[in-house]
Amino acid sequence: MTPTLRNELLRGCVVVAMMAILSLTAIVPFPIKPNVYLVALVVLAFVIDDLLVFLLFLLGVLAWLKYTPFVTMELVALGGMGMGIYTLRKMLIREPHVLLMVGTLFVFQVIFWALFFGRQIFVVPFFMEFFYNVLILLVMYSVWVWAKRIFS
Amino acid sequence: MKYIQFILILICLLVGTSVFATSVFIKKPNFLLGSIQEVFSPVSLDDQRKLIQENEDLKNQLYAGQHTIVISPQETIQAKVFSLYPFNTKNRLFIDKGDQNNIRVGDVVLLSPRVFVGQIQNVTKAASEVSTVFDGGLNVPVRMGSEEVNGLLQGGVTPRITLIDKAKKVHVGDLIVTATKDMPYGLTVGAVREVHEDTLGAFLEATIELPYSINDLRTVFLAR
Repeated sequence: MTPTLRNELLRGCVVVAMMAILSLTAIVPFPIKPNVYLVALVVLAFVIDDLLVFLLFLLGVLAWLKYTPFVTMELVALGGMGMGIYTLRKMLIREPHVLLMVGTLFVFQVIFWALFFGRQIFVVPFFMEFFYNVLILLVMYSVWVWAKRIFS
Repeated sequence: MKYIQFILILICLLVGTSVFATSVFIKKPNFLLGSIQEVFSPVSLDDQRKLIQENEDLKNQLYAGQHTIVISPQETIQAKVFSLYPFNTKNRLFIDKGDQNNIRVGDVVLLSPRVFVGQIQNVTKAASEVSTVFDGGLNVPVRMGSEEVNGLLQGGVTPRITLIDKAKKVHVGDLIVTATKDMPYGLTVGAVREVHEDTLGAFLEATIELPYSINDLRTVFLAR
């Protein structure tokens, strides 16, 4: 394993570990649960270059999310979205950019809501979830930047 | 340039999602939404149909609560049902009230203050014979559902509602209530179980879901 690959793995682990902790924590007083899995996938897709490493973390995120004995449509959709974001980013973006991450998060949150919550998307809970998602994204990305300094 | 491409792709995804999967911007054809939601939505179209049916049932129940009659206990006479065990006779019931209790031919037999069971056919001094919905000779005009569609209850081994106008809409689960002048209006007969065309294809027929099992009747009430 090359040092670059090892460092990328370690930095990704920090993000996934944070996602796991946040998913187990009631972090907000309101009855809106942020989609930490989607946020983690967006961050990972933007910061990981190696496809195999990304696939590894994608599977890790989906495995953490899988709480039923069968594969749910949410898992399939999140997997597809993760791959879509990674492919797009890999083709077009070289360096992670926070605003692009936020934009990507918004678009894929819309897609997620459209798939699973029907017609009404742009309602208050959507924007509250997006607000929390952005906060988590900023924290995750900051942690990744910190981890990059440590593991480099 | 690449950044702009990335942003354009995001915008395309956003617009595409909004157009095809939501009704926020454009009212799209239902079949498209239906097919998309059928594939992805955790609430399938079958579930949606069930919810619609449940909604209709609740409307029926509400309608029933408002429009069916409730006969007060003071207006009824309680009677016990004689056992015909081990025979499985369903078209006739025999009860322990008769002429000495002022029972008359044509009196209505009820399971509860609103559920129709049958009509008195013969009366003796201390007992009476009841013609139930399983009796081929029973014919009672009825109405169905919140639209109050007319029909004729025809008794028999499989009691059914006949002579339903094909232009009228009768739904499974619609409440069936009595509408003859010979008994109180709005007694519950049952609910529509299935609707189909009659043998000639001229009218609709409906089978009935009864709210009781005739063999389990032990006590009934009589009303005039």
